[in-house]
Amino acid sequence: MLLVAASAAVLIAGVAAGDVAAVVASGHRAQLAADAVAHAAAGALAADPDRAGLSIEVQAGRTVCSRTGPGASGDEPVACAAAWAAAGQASTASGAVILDLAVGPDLRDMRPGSGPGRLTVLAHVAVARRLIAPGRCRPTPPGPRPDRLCWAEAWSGAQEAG
Amino acid sequence: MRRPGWLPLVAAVLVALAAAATMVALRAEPAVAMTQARLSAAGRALRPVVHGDRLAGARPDWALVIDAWRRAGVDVDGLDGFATLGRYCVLESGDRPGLAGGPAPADYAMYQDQAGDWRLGMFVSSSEVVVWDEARQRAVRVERPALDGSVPLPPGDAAPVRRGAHELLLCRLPSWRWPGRVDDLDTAAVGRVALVDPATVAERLRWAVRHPRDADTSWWHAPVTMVGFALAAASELVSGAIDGLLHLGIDAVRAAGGGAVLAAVALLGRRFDGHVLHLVLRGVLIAGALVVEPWLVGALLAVGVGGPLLGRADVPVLGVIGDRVSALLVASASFITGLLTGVDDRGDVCAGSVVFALLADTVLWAKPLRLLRFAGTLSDVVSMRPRAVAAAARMVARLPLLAGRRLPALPGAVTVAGKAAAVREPLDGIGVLSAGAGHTPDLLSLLWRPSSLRSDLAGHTAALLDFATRDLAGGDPSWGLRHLRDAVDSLQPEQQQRVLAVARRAQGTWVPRALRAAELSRLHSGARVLANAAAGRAPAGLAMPSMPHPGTLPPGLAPPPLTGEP
Repeated sequence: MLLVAASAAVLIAGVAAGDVAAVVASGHRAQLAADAVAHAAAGALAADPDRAGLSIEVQAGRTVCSRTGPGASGDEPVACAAAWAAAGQASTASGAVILDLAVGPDLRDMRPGSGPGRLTVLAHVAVARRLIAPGRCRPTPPGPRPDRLCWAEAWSGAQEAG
Repeated sequence: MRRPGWLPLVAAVLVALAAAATMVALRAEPAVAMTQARLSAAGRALRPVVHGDRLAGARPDWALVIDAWRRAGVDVDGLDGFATLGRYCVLESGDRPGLAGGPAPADYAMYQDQAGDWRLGMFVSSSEVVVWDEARQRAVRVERPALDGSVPLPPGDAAPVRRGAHELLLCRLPSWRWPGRVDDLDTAAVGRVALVDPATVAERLRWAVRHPRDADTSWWHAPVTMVGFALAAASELVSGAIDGLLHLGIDAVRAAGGGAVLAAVALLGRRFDGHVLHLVLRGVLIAGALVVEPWLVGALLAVGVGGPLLGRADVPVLGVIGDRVSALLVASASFITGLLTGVDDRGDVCAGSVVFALLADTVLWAKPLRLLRFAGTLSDVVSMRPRAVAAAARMVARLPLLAGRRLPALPGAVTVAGKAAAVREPLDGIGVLSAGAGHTPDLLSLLWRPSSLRSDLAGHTAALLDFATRDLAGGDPSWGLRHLRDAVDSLQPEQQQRVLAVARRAQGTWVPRALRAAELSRLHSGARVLANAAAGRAPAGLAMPSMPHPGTLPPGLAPPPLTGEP
């Protein structure tokens, strides 16, 4: 009996330790993924030929490139597609899922007499924790607010320097 | 005095020098900004990818690339086959770079498909190529490794079918084909990107969304801004006055033990999900219309149902038209349903909106009493803008919030995508009232839109004229005009005839003409609303944003709407 109890305790402690490690590691991975996604999207926007138009759009408050559905809307600026494509590649490479991506203007360029300016990107991603203990985690996050037990969330921002 | 003979020569030289200087000063700028031409071509090639445009023709990929170049000012004369385009291509290998500096936007790639036909793609960045996907019959953007087969593709990703991994040619147009005969490969517009604190970015994003900027820099920008500032200041004054009056009124109601009244108004502020109810009501509306007008509504219904089917079947022309017409019909049906019932296709329909819309409908259909001719005018005002009244009701429905001295903290403007609310803005009753009163000028503008001011003036003036002259002109006797009738009867016969002639003229000519003009103007206004509804945009007259520019932030970033429930 004592042996069984000790074995169970060791097993439970091992699983718990593994889960703790998974939680910590997934948080770190999520932060790295968010950084990568934000950086990739900002980089894509910096190189996009339509970034000037997008800059004017976001300065006028008409769009932030956010998508509520799976695809792009018909009136989405062309540059948003580039940002989402780059962000999607970065998130796939990082094993993360993009929960949201918002593009905004750089306040340094929102001054009178100035036209298009730099852009800033805010990315919110989720990474599966892959816990050892059996649970009811879904393979994909169910919505903009995934289960925090199963998914580690992180967000990051990037902007053009200079 | 005789002038020296060399004076005309000096003058001619001076004129020539001045002309030369003028020519130099006003000469056309040389086309050196070739980066812009390249980016323009690449951007043009991207558009069919993003918008899903259909491309026709036997070789849509060739048409796509060459058209993008042509629109960017490239000399595309003779670029119509492999013999001409292939001569600018190189085959990249490990020890020999394909293109100097790597592919740049507007460079192109050529590869053979499985049938052996040469396909054309355009680089839109150093690593991405826009190509034609034969299977999906649309232009797609693929990574270059997916095209040249240098790396295995992840599961689910499909590359355009190629014959082999070594047929991808990297190509660059000669410089003389670019505008100005100069090809500038400098794409250094790409700046450095740095990671920054997301909370700071979110805060700035919130500020930017709340302070949208008109990026127009034309000369009238400053005057318009000044006028806008003056109007905003006037609005603030009006808002402050209304704020104070409302506050006094609420205090008086509360002091008089009017808690029940406030509670009743609170019911108007309750919200519910209107999607299903809207769907049902729309169906009832269509069914009712079908009973009343079976042929007309039946035909519209057939178009509404058949249009999307034609669109899905990719029927040319008719498919596109049918799809759009169907969307317009559905949007119109939704608009009329919301107009009549106040139940929008939204998730937060306000009960007060529904009640006031139904009341407005009652006024519209019943036109009760007719004791005063003004009743007709009043019903016009209400019936033409029931939704504006409903919007006003939303603000009224918020008044019960004042019953509490301090409300629970409402989530602030920034709750960044699941992050715990970075900012919380506790609002008390005064704050809520101020926020509501700030919209009062907007509400007034909804009731009396500047765009319809002329039609309103014409309509109401005509109604007044009708009210004053109908009795005199021998029409229905008007209530309350006995004194006017007596006054006219007391005039001299000649003057009396003159007044009556004017009244008859007004009744026969002026009033109908003015009423017709007013109705036409209102129809135009309504058409604009319908067009907006069909286009999926919230008509200005149908929405009262609780915060500036709602919907411009993603769901996780958007501030929650102020509701009538604490």
